[in-house]
Amino acid sequence: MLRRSPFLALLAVVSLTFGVLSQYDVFADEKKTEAKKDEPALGQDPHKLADGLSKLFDQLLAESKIKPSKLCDDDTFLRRAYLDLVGRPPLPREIDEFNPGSRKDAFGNKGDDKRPALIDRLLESPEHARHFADMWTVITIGRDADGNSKRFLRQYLETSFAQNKPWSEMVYDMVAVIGDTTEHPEVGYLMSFENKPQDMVGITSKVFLGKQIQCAECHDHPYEDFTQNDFRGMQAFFTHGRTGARGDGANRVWYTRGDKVVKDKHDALVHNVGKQWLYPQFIGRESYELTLGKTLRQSLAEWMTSPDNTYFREMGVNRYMAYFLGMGFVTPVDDFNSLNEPSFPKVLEIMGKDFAASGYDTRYLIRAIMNSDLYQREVDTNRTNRNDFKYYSRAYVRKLTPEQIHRSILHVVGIERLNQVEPIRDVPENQLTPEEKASKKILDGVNGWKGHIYNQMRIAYGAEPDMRELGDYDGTIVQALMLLNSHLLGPGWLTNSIDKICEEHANHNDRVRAIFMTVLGRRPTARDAAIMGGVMANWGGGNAVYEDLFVALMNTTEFATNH
Amino acid sequence: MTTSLSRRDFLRTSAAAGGVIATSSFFSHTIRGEDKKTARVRNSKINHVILLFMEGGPSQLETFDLKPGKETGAPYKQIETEVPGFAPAEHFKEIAKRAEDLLLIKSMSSREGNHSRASYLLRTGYIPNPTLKHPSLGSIVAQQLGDPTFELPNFVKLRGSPFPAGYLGVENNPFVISRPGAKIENLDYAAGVDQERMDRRMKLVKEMERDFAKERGDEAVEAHKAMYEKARKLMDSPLRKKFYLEDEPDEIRKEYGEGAFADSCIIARRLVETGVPAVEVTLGGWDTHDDGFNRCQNLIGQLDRPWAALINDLKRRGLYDSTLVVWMGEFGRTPKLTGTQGRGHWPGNFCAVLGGGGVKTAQVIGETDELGYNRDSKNQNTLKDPVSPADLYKTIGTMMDWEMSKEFEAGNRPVWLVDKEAKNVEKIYK
Repeated sequence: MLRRSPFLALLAVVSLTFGVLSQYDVFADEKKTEAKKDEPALGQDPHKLADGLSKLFDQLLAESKIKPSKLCDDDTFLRRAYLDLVGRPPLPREIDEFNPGSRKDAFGNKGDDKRPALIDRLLESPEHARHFADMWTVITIGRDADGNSKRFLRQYLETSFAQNKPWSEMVYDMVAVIGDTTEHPEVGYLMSFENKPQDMVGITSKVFLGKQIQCAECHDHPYEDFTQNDFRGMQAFFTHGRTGARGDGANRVWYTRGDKVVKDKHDALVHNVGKQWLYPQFIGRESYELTLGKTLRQSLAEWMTSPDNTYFREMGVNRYMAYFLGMGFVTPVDDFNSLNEPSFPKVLEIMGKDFAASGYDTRYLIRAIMNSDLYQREVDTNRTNRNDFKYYSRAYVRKLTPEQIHRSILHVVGIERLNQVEPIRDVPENQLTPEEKASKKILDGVNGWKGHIYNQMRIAYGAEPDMRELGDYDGTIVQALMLLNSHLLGPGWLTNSIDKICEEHANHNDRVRAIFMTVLGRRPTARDAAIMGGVMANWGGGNAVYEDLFVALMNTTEFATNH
Repeated sequence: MTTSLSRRDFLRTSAAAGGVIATSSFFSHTIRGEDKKTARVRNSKINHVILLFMEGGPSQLETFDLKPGKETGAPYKQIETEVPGFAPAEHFKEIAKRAEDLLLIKSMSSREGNHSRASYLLRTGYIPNPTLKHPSLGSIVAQQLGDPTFELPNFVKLRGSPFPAGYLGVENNPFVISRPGAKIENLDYAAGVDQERMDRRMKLVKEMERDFAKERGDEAVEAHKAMYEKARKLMDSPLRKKFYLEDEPDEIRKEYGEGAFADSCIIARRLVETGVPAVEVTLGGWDTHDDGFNRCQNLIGQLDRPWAALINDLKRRGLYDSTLVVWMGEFGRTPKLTGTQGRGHWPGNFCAVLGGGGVKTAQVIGETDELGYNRDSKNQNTLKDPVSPADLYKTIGTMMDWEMSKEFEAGNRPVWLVDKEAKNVEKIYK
């Protein structure tokens, strides 16, 4: 989406750094001056950053003689954006509202404004907060963390993403939290580590700073300048990061304990696992100036989330580049080290500064990435960009995460939408009316299924918390068996959905269209209609035919990937 | 297998792009080298591996390396056997009778004392690497010996968490049965679906896939297809009954005893008998930081009879010679007792027990000092004949004639099934 507001300054600054852009080197000095003069305020308008990125990569591609893929059509964009931001494909109603391929959407946005408006709508929806809470719970503490940790952390993340709390504040809260889960559900983060400071530091540093110092727990890092002492220096910040629990049953709360405000030098000296007395020390041996009046974790969190912390801001940018584009500047996404240089260090640097200048506004960063051409290209390639794994000249087919598949299945089969229940009063079961009891039974069934399906997805994918990377299309038989045979696809669940669709649409073609939109999040093409005509010709009648179509579409690669 | 061919092409074309992917490893789960089974004939009579994996780190001092009467010892008696040095804890009533069929290693040794890292090491022979996922023993065996067209999975894991095959690819992932003996979920068609309806669903999928591949490239489609072909074959296979115990005679079930571990061992035998090359059975609960004597006694109670029955049963059916049975966990436990009669993590020396195909049984390898330590007061290593996890993998690889000199490819880097630095422990098989 090229806009008329060029972001030349950024382009100029960035261009300087590329050997590939040799022709610009001639103008290096001139550009530098220009850059200084015109440098726009960073972190203000995500569309400027988006345009800057689009233009910059157009230049880079031209230099590399790579022709980018076309920008994708509205149908493709719609589904891609829904899966990325809310974790499921769009519903038929939402497809109609966006009005793919037409000039105007149902909200009065026209032409080039339709896509940015959709991104804004999705970012502000409660489903987005829920999806990002799911995603970040997995990234931080993993699918195998204990249930209570996951529950509290999710709760904190969902509320925070819903308020668009700055990323720096969220990380600060998770790392520095003091209190208990009634007021501070973010305790869930620390409590997941079961009082192992070495795990707290390993994950905190990998996930939020992109520094994998956990290797230095047992030996000096093989190719980084980390020693065991560096690891212990970081670990020392968590010496007081213990969590505990009190109360039972419904009254049980978890809290952080032992946090000591540092009043003098002696309070910061900690007795560490290595049986040495030492002072905490930041990664990269940046010396830690003892801050009085704060706990060690507060000092660490402050350093981590400062606008000046390059690790923090670049890790944030790389995470979202990798998530939205299938590939970050650094791969694996959270392994920044001297042997794993970013593909475009200067772009990463500038985007990092921009992210920090926005006040670590996650939505700002997401708007910039999603509104750029880099995000909106087609998967379909041409001769020149088939093998491009660097310049973002094409979109990649990305396998859905277990969380996305889980959400998509529940949504597509419609067990929430189509088995709706009346609100149930929060009273003991014996006081419920018979109607409420019936509703509760359905609701329990739905909730049971949700948990169950998620568990299955976990088994199918393994418990690896890492984000999936490009080229990794692995699924297991378990996943296939589930999508083919799950009870969810039988009487009571899928059959209800099908009955509803058949009730709403009398005509065969309309039913097929509704099923396509429901399962694949797009309207059938003429080609699809021809396939359906051919294959379904001898299928006979009745609603079973539509069940078969529905389940078949759920078992396609198109359903299981974002593209 | 078209999957891997297309993956290989994918990599080739990627490689053709020169330095483009050289700095990254985002193909960490892909593999090149599908020509594996075409010409090569393995020179080994071992056709199956059953791994009995003890999760949590089983104490050597409560199982096979007792120090009775010493301050570090458990208050257990040990059972002397005809094999010198093979004197298990008194609760191993049945296994003690099988000393002639087993080889005990008392000198397994590593430096990983963290559960997840050590489990990774003992399951794969490599220490964990954030950028590369190694396959576990079962996946290696599935890839080396497995028939890709076999109706059952080539690697079945009974209980425990899934451990993906990493760079060996999805076709060598374990098929995990979380509740052995119980109905396996989603293996049967959903209610109201028959063969005909399943067929037409799959026919439509095929048509849709063809179009998707045309427009969006075929890598994803090929991987997807492989997964579904295998699933369909399994759903429709009469061999599925091997996952269940219904047709297993009562006297055999009695011989194995009761419990999930016993049921798993019977299923392991049934699968091996049917031709499944790799089975892993997990028994958890060995992380005995507290109350270790009671807990280990209880665990041995679950373990002893099924394990011995498995050996007997395999022998009766003439399968013990072609089946390697490995018992081990991720590490051992500290000789020094905690105040609560428990022990901490201790990777310095621990036990593994091998039996069956190719193993020179009725012997003990390695020895710890009289208190169970592997180092003296000057921190000098005193462990006799130390065997590292990588050494064990190398030895098993040699015994089974794996393609250990072959360069596999994971991302842009070469990898080997077994660590090149590892050494063969010839005593195990010669």
